Amino acid sequence: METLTNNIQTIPLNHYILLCAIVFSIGVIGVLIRRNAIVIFMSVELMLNSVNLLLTAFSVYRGDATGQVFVFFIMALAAAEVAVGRALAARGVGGAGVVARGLVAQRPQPAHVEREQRQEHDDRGATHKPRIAGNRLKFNPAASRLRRPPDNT
Amino acid sequence: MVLFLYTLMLINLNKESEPRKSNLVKFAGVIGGGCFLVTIVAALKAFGVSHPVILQNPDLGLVKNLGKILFNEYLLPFEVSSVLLLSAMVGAVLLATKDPKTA
Repeated sequence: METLTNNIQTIPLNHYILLCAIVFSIGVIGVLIRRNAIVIFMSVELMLNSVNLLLTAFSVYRGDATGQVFVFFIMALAAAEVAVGRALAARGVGGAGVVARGLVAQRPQPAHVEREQRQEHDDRGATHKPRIAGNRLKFNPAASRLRRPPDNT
Repeated sequence: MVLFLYTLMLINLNKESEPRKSNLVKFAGVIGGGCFLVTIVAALKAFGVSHPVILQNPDLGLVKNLGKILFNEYLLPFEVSSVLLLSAMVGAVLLATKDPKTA
């Protein structure tokens, strides 16, 4: 145990920053390439955790406990985010990626472009997916591709 | 994190429920993230030498010390974060309950 502590104390600061940069980049890539809202939330949490690690490392490096207090606030933020994400998943919104399509993956298009696209879809006989117009979020579990899990009660 | 894993178990993510994303977007995302990483690492290399992280004050991370700072200097942010958690809870309950119209 003593040798482990001694070994940890020899790690230079740059290695911490490197690790945090790698984890943060994984989070950024996850946000960019996944369309599922829940997975995007998980990637955001990965970024938050890398920043937590960096804050604690700098806190020890500078001998200032303020960084660790900030870690508390970031954890509270992550908890709030998890609560909202969990509620979204319970409505069956997150699994279908509807939120992701509306918020992240697709720029909100003008109404006439969207209407043309929808008509195009209808002409081809394909069933168009539920679309979110602009930035307005409408949670419609019936329209999402993934239904609510059936209640046992 | 545990809650997220629980959620993943609940909603049963499989291949067909995962919405497709074009390969171009994935490629662009990976390229962008890689550029971000390379930029940070290059900046770190340019920064020069780094000193080892040594804990000078062993009392730094103790609950007593952190509590003193949290409840003296950061009392207002603490209360604001309590408001944030409360609003998140209210929002989660509102989202999770069924619509009175559809139910």
